[in-house]
Amino acid sequence: MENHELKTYFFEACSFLHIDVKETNPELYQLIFPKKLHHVFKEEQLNVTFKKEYQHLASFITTESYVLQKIAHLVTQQTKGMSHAFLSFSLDALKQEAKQKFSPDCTIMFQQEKKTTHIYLVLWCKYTLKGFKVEESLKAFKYNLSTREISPLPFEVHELFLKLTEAKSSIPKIENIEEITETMLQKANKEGSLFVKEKTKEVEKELEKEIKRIHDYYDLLQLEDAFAETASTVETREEREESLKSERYLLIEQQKIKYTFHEEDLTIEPVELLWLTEEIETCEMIVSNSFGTQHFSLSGEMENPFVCALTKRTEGPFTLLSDGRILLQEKARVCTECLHTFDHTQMKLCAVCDTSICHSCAKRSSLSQAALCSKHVTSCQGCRQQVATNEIQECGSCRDPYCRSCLSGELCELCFDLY
Amino acid sequence: MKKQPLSHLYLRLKSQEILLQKGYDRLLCLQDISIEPKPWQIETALKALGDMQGSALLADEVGLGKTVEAGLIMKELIHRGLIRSILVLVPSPLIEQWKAEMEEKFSLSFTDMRQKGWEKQELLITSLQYPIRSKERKEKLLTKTFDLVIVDEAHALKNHQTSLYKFVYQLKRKNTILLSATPLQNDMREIYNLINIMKPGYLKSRRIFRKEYMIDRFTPKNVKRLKDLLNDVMIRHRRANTLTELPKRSLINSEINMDVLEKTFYNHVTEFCKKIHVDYDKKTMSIMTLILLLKENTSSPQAVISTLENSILPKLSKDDQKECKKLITLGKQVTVTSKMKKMKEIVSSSDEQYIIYSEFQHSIEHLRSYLEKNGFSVVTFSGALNSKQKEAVIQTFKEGNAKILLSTEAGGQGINLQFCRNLIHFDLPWNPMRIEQRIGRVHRFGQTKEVQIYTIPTSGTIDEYLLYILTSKINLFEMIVGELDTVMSYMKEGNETLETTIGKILLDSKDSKEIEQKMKKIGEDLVKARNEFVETETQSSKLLNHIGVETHGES
Repeated sequence: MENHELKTYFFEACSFLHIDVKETNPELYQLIFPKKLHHVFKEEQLNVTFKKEYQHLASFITTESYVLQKIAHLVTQQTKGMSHAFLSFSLDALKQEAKQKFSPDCTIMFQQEKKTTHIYLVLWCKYTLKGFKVEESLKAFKYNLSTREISPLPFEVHELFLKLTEAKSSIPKIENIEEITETMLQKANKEGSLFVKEKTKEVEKELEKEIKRIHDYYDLLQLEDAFAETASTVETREEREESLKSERYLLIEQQKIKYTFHEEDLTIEPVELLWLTEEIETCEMIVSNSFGTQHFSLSGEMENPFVCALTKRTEGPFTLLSDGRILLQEKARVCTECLHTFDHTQMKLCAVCDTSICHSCAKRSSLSQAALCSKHVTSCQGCRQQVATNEIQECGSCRDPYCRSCLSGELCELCFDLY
Repeated sequence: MKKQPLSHLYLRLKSQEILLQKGYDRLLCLQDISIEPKPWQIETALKALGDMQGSALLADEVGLGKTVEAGLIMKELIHRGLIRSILVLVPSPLIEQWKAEMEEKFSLSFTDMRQKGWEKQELLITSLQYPIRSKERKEKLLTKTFDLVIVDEAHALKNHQTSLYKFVYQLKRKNTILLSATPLQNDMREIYNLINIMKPGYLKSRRIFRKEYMIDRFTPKNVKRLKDLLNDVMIRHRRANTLTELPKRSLINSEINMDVLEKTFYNHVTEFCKKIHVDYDKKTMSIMTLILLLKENTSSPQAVISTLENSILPKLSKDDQKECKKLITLGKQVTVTSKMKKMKEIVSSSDEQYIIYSEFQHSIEHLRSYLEKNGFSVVTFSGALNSKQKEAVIQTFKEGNAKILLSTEAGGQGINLQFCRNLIHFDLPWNPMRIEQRIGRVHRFGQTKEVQIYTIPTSGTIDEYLLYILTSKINLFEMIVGELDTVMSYMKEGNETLETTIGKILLDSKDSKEIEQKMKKIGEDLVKARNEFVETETQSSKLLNHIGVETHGES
């Protein structure tokens, strides 16, 4: 959490808990606790600072600091209710964006505009996985009250709340809320095994490293034993080998126990609920230019729907290619032969005149394999193959065009024979 | 369900995010412990748990609180629900102190393996030697897998050929914490052995370690590489870098002579104990009861009378009962002892506050009434009080509403009295660790003035011998906090405590000459241990500084 975010959170949390905050100087604040919190903080007042340089004067507040942790804990302990939020996925911004991002040669039209409303119950769950360390994560799931589908909510808390607005209407009574949350918890549990796998993978490297250390060590000991100058008796050697083997096995087993996460070590705890009304606007967007017309389905929840098909860049300006794809204008080329638009990777340059030609229109010299436009391709009188106009020479006698491989001297084969 | 504003939900979710645990970015146990750890102690615990993943050699210099660091690691792992079983191996003189410290500071109750039913307990403490003295015990421990094994004064593991080393190596465990201010003395291989017990093969084989990192026993090579390797498994802080030097502490000895009546009573009690020791079998009269009586005899007749009446008299023959009753009558005549008078003299000498320690409740009660009669304001602290009452007593004393705090051993542990600088040992525990614990209540972080420690030894008694050893031989009263622990760990581990040894000396010796000789031997052992420690610490620091083992957390 950035320092300014931390500060904002801290002051909001204090206000929520009725803790008075007085600024005593620009970097120092005095917290005055309400009576009911005196026993928690064991004092009535406390000086705090967000700057390390002032920590000799006041408690230094960081995400890990005792005071902030205590405050966060107190906030979560307050009586819970349910919030009702409205999440609108309007098309306005996308429409505006489309108009700005397409080049002036494109005409944009919107058709079949409609609004769909979904009601969701959102549940946040805290995942706690205990192995050799504790890994915790907050995950949210939304339950569609019409379709009964459950899907993960793809937003971080901060990101989501930037989009939410307070819904004025009250929350209708939900008869089967317990049943729904139970179903959602089941879904959360299913996702739990993925969480365990993900965390196990993260510590696998550690385990491998520890096992390798043990193997290397015992391999070395065995090797050193084998070359030991003072040879022990056969029996003691055998005994030693046996004890090394068992030590090695036991040490590896201990490491495996230490570095393995088990599904039974995972606990999932529901922490917050939200009643969410989601309104999504959708429409058909028609983009047309002199090279063609293309229909796109737009939805207000789409993020960056306009992406260059070639570079994946999103900032535009875009144009429409003849094949219906959206492309950054700077990457689009017109074929001088067929007059269709293509992305630049689909184009060739004529080896003679440098004009752009598409793959389909480009001809190829059988001599140099170079791409050629129709103006600069010709055929050899001798081999009858296509070659570039600048690869042709005339026979000194008959003046017929020949490629370099067919005209070795000044005369073509026919004239040479006649001569 | 009640509707709540969206801003509240946001706040709650942000709070949930703040509370999420991701690795070891902070210690969560701090709210559950009754001490405020020093910055380097927190840093050590976080490093040992995080980067070092639960196995580390904590090699801070003496006095920086390695035990607290180990306690923090244990408590944090328990708080997070990551471990359940712990085995702590410590030199036998430190068991009691470790147990008390863990209980008071971290609310962790360890079971001494000498107690029955230890097999069923998860938090075990024992001496380094105790498990290997019995094949059965050893086997039982080797079948268990411990989540954490802690070895205090781990230099005891410097030799890999000892049965102790082999035993610890074989212990099945997930994490290992070793504590030693002197992880190597005069042979580089000692540190190899310590680290190899914690992480076998981390420094390759002994042969390769010798080849790669040693010129000879005292001289390291490839120092940079060795330093990097050690820094990943070892944490060392130095006093000079932690600004932990405390004000001086000084001893004021006020020797007294008993008057005729006191002396008669004292001698009669000693002789009576000797007689009982010879005449009765151990089942009828335990040696511990007699030692208690001898200890009380150095405190007050009131303490002696109580034990005579309650624990001795009912077990005696008719003739001996007569003798005992006579003794009780004699004791009752001694109402104000010379020691009490001296104590009154000391507390009257200034306007400052005083803490007076006695091991015995009856002495405390008698002192209270004597001091109050003489116009002093007194509060009493003992194990019999509940936590609220204890808090109230300390608060009264802290606020200056009482000049004197009378405290039993229960007050010697777990409370902070650094606002006061005068401490009177009304009687002297026979266990130097207890003396150190008493001093530790006032001579600790936060103390700003020179600490004055008063003792009132009685001429011709065991007090005199004991004090001579503790002052002249090991200079106990001027030691650095925590130094005594390490010195004691260098003492040859015997089967009995120092207290019992002293008690037996008193009971078994023919005359004062014999007592003196035997006490002298104890003194010599302590001197030997201290010298060995001083030499080791110097060597260890020299070598570690040469390698450049990082000093963490300079504050």
